[in-house]
Amino acid sequence: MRPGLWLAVGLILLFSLFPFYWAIVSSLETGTALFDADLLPSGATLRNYGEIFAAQPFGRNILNSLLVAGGTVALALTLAVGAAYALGRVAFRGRGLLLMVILAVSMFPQVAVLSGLFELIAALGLYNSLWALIFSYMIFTLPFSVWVLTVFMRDLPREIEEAAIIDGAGSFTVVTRIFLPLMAPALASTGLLAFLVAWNEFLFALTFTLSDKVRTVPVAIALISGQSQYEIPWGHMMAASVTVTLPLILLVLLFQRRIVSGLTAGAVKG
Amino acid sequence: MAQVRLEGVAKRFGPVSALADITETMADGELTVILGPSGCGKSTLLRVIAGLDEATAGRIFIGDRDVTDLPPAKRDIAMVFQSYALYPHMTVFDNMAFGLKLAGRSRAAVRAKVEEAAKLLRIDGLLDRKPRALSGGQRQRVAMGRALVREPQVFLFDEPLSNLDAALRVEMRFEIAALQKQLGATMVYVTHDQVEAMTLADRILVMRDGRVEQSGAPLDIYRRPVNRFVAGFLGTPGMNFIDGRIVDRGENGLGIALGDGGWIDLPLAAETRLAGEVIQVGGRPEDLMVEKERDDGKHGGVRLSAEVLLVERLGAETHLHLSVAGGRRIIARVGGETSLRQGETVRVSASVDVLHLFDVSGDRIAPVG
Repeated sequence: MRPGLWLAVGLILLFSLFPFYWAIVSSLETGTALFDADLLPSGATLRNYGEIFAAQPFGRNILNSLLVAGGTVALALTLAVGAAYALGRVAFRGRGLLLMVILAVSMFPQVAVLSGLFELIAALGLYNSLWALIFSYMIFTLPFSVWVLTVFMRDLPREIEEAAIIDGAGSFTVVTRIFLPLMAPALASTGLLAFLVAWNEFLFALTFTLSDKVRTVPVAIALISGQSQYEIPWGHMMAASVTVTLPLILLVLLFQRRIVSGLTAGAVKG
Repeated sequence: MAQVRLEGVAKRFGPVSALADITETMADGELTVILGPSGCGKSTLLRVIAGLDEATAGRIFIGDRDVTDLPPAKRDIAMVFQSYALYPHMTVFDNMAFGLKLAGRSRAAVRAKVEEAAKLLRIDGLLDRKPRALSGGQRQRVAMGRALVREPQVFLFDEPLSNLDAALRVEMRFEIAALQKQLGATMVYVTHDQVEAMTLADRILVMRDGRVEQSGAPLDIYRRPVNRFVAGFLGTPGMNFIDGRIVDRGENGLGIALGDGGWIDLPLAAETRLAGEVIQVGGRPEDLMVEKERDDGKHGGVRLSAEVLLVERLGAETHLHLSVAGGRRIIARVGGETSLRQGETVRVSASVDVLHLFDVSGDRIAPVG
């Protein structure tokens, strides 16, 4: 039983980590060495990493991605917390229907909304700006944020809210001073998911931006060009991929500790 | 402190009526217990007083103020919840200070109030702890402290002790009673536990199906329940009921023929107009006397033979489960040293003036004797 388990774990690890390992190895090689199938890099060098920042505005691309993903998370969570309070705690007619509609929004394939969204963004004058991306990313981030937070908010003990109401707190105070701290784990996990989605998104980023200055990382990597149109600069692309994956891994590790249950322990009963 | 006055208060949830036309006064400085089985509307009544639920009809007065349309925070009440409802991310100090801070009191005033209340409740050493680091009893004290610092006109308790274990419950019950006397506070206390009700209350409201069945001092309700429901609800073990019919024997006076072969003499004063009525006779377990069957002819007005089904020895007292002729089971509470055993045939008797008679609709027939 035990050896079998470890074998399975090993296989899964190999399956999921090997591509990343291969990217690291490739990113350290240049020229023809790239095309030798070596498990260890021959003649390892960090030259690729230097070149992506020197030859391209890659630093700028990373900054754009941070701004877009960060802005998306901030906006989505702010809106979702408000919506979740209404949907989770306030009884009103059509609440179930509204939740279903919100869910339905996330069912549309990206391509289906692409052209309509393009018109909208052009009409709003957001084309080729980071706001276009933040705005359009609400389409995928809001539905699941609202759902996760609504469910979480609904499960918070009602008596805590009532105690706060008797203490003289209005809805805004209840949400900001009582619920938000209790929802930290839910906020961390939904925020992280929203960040990942925004960070990795390609199609909208490609469509709604034009110039290098507002490009985000996934598009920038895809558009990294070699010396000639016949050369695909694998080394640069791998170096760029490794560079943008590291922050994500750091983020996940950082927030992993916050995504813990039991924060509400002690609130009710024993 | 102030009294709470309810005038025709009703509450409906859609088509369901939770409270029906309740008019009651909870006197200034008294502890009023609202008692009833679950689902009787007692918590709803408390929530309507608190303002957490809106009354569908009627007015609510606290002191001389009509608070019917005021939000909870403006009613000058404080509430202790069954689950304590402490803010889990705040320290004990912040839990107690939250309301005062929102009310815009100065830092120094908040600190002074919280420390005073904490000292009173003996939680002054715990002010920096989070709720999860507290025991059940300590959480209960913090919840009470949060109510105390608001210095409300009325304290509302919603089954505050039901999450505590038995020993702690007795202790906290004592402390709530002591606190109430010390502060001279008006308290409204909801519970389904009749022991809490009997021990704590200056006055009890017994509720059923959204109505107040009876209100009064605990012992008055215990001794003179107005109907079968109240009679059966108060007391453990509960009151025994046996069906019977009132029979007029002319010269020999009035009596009750119990459905299962027993007989109860009614005093001469009893009204003959009741003759022929089908009734229920109620007797509290401690009012029943149980003796070994003897043929000496004495029966003290009540004659009923029974078989001992089970003897429960609790030390200080013994509960006898008896099967009277006809199969109905009753319970008698006798001394701890009884020599009666399972399977024995016994004679059950009682003094007529402690029995309760109820008519077919369950209302008390007064007076019995």
